Amino acid sequence: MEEFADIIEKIENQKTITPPDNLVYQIMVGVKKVESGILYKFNRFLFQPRELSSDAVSILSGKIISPRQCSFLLLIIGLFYLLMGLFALWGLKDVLSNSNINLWLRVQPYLSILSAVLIISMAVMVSQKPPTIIFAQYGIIAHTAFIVVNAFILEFMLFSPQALVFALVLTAAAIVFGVLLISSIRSFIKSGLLTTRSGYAQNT
Amino acid sequence: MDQKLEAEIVTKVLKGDRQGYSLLVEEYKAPIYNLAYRLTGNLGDAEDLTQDTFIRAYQYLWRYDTRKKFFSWLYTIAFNLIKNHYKKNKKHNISGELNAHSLADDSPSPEAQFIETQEITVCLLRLEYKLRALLIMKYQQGLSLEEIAKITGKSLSAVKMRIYRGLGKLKELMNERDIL
Repeated sequence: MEEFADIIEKIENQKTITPPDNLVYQIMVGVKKVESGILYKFNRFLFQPRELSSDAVSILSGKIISPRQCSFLLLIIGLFYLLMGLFALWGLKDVLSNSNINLWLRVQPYLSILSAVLIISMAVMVSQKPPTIIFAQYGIIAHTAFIVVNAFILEFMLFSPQALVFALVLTAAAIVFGVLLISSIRSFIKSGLLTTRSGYAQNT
Repeated sequence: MDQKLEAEIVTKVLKGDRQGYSLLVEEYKAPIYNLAYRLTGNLGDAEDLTQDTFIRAYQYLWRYDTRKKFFSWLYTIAFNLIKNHYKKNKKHNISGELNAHSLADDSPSPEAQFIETQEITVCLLRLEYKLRALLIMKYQQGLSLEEIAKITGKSLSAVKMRIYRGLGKLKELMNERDIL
């Protein structure tokens, strides 16, 4: 490169040009315009990588440390029961209106909706008053026990093997949800972030 | 501006602090403006391209990887925009005439040196676009060969070879004009 040393020096010595004074202002005006555009908003909404909140991270890793997380889990499971009940009501409309079918079988969709209402109420209760989580725990234990009893009763009423398998799968799922909810609530209570007498302690 | 601070500013901007972006614009407007001017030879185009670069960067800021240098990312956007502008306006492109408005104002250097500087600018503008861009990035803007390779998407050896070839051609052009 020595042969070009003089040329390199001349390029390096070229005067630096100062940009116009209003350049930053003009750019910021353009930026504002871009920001209000639908395409920009759409692109960011779809493609911008998002960071999971600490709540979401700990829910996914199984560490429940806040009443908000417990409330969220209760809400999700409540919604599951609600959808299951509504689908059963809608799908078995004709069957349910048949009075020849056992009453206990006919009330199953309503029981599912009732479970949903109870669990969603618990979710709201826990999010508003965290100490009520103790009652939510007992509520879920009672609900899970009821599901087991319900499964036994249904076993004697259902004769079709397909219906039996379906009822067993739903019962197993409900028991798994119940156990998960109870262990989540217990893990939160054990974390020491909750005191029942003095209400909810922010941190210990 | 260090990389950590840049990353912090970008994070804030992405969270809605639009005004924070002006800090980045303030920091890098001069090198981008100079690059655009040296490559187009026109002050108006340089201004438009600088604006386009920063607006485009803002539009795609969420794609910027904060572990990397903001300047290199911004420079890549500028380089591609200028290249596209050059391709579009190839027919009307400068044939050695340049808008020397900025160069003329109150130059502290002696007259002879000023003319010489202007002559090299003219010769650079006559050089093939790709070679000119590399020479300006390397010697006028002081970028490292690795950075240039990243920005242009060429291999390190290709960049070195082209810079050498560019210098050779520039020397020929300068000899033609009796500058050397």
